[in-house]
Amino acid sequence: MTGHPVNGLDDTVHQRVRLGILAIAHQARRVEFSYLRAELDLSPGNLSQHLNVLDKAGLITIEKGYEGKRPRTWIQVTKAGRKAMHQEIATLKALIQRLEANATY
Amino acid sequence: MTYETAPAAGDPQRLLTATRELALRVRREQRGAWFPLLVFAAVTLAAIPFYRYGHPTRHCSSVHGTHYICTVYPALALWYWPVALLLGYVGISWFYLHRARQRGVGTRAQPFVAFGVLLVVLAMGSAFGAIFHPAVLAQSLHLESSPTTNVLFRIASPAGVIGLALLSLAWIERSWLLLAITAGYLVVVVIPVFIGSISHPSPWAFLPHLLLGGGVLLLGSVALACVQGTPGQSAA
Repeated sequence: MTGHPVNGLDDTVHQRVRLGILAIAHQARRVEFSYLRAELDLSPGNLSQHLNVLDKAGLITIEKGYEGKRPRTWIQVTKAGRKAMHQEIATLKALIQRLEANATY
Repeated sequence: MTYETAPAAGDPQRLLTATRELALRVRREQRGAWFPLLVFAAVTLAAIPFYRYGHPTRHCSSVHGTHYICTVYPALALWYWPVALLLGYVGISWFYLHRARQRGVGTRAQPFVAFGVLLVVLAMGSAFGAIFHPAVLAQSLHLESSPTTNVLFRIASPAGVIGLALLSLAWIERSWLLLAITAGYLVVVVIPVFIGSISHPSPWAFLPHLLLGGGVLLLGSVALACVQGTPGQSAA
């Protein structure tokens, strides 16, 4: 990464909900759609949109199936997703440091 | 003209804090160490009849063809521990998987279960080796008994193996309370080395050690269930 840390921000990941999805799925290893919806306080349609963005970027995988008669959707972070999340967090930290340093002048 | 000027320090800070809080909340949801502690307490206390009513068995082998070295061991208890511990790990796996399905959050318990099973296999392998080849063991220790070797024997015992597995779980679940309980339990496991062993003629001589170990695990389970919450509750 060169120049201002803001250049290192990934538009796909640098979004409150999508970063939240990645953080939860990374921690949980595997997380269900309904859990994400409850934790992030989103409507099913809204969450689906964000999941599609992450899925298309190859940052998560979505697995649909049944448990008994109940349909279930499981989300898992890919290796690229983990990398993107760590990169985003590192960039955010660098940005905070830079902004705090500038604020002292 | 753009609506997005340079971000204030608070925005990335808020984003980072919110992300950390989400990750911590998930981790708390995944905690369930009260159940493994309960299983290990049950396994420990259920060992009592196997020690009491299992007939002591003796196995001797020669050293340099001139001396004999013998080991006396409770045969039933020797077989009880690997079977009970492995069944215990099956139960623990089921519990974590069931909870993961119920809550919709994956489990991190697999490394703990794998490590625990590996420890059981290694410890039982060394126990069987020591019993059936006591001469080899005695020679490797130069027939000396030091506090260090005694501590190692205690750690390689079924109780010690439970303690080591719980240490790994404390790390996986990032739980200071579980770490403190496990440290206390390991002290109970190792302490007989330092207070010395008294030869009791009583057939119940083994009882204090099992009751103490099982009691610590049981109390730890109750404490964790109160702090972390059982499956019906949200994690504290």
